[in-house]
Amino acid sequence: MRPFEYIRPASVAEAVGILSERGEDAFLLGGGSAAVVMLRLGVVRPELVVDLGGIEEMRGLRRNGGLHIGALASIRSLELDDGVRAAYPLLAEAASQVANVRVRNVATVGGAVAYGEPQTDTPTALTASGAVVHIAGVSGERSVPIDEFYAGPYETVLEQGEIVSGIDVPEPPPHTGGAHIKFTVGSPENKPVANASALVTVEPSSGACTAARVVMGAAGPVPVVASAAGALVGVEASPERIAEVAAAAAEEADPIEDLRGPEWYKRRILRILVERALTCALQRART
Amino acid sequence: MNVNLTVNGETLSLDVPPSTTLLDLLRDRLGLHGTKEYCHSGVCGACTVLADGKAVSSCSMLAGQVDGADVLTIEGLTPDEGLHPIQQAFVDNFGLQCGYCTPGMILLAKALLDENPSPTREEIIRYMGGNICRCTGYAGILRSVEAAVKERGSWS
Repeated sequence: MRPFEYIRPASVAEAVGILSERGEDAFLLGGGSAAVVMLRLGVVRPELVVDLGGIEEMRGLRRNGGLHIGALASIRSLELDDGVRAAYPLLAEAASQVANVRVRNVATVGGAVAYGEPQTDTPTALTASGAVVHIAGVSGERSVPIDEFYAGPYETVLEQGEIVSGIDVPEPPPHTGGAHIKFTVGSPENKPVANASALVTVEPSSGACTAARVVMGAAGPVPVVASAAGALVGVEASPERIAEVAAAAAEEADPIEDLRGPEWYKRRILRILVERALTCALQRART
Repeated sequence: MNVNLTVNGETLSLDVPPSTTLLDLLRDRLGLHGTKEYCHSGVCGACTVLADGKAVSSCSMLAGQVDGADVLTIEGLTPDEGLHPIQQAFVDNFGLQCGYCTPGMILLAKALLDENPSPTREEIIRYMGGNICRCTGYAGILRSVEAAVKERGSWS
């Protein structure tokens, strides 16, 4: 690996101070599962690696009416935390499907968000959950809804010197069900051909949907929010209606051809994933 | 830079370049060659070690990230005489062929059993499937871990 300086700041203020001073010479390290690979491959050649791992204020999960996820919280903590599993089962379900347990032990939620990789499960589920990303910089903090956070593959609205400090997720209302489904080929821990998250709220007496959100991953340059899901609101979603919505959602996707399949194939997979995710989410919302 | 950590029960203070990975530190600096090097990207699991009890890819962590950590490698798991019960279960159940993935598999199995002393077959498959074996087709590995689970009472 190419040599670099290494620093492990103890606070957000110290980290953003270092970043503003060192500018493009600096590279951020969260859990390292992606960053260390990039360093080794020479994809990035920084003079300075800023390891955020020692910043206590960016750790942990906190219930505060919603859920506050410290940027350094591990993917595995989302998967295993009893409170998250009970109140945010969509997030726990998506987290449990990321890569392998070694990666989930060290990879951070903030890192998964900031990396901007279009294939990973966590941003898809966070987008379906209406997450807000908190960003810290030398000039202060700002918050951006996650739908507006991504600018392209591996690109975000983060400015030079800014870091993701945490993520807030609103608590789903009662009678809400969520589901995250992914499809992979080859090794089970290969990156997904596609994934989909659905989050649906129903009116318990009539069974009609009051809210429905579908987000597709590996389906375009950024997590794709399917506007087609709106057609479920106000109706009792029949299997036929769900199938129509899934077909329309797959048309909204913009997948690329790569080693995981051609565009038409990914669209076909997406249609099925959305149909299954919606069906499962509705079942969970009704029970 | 200076890194303080515990490896297999021994407290160490090492001066290493910041670009040293935990895998480099174990193999090249400490001569612990039981931890294997293969994909360098956190996928294959040949370099699995336990850091503070959790399974991690030692190739994907910088030495600075394990400052203060307690690291266990296959050398530390192996008792002075004989084998650890998980190792013995792999021997008894043909849980290896070429052996390259085996140290990682055994440490991953230890992490699983420490977290969940009586995993179901499904849970074993899901957890162990994260490490890659290209010889056994996993049947022997699954048998080995199931045997280790059965024996768990006698060695925990």
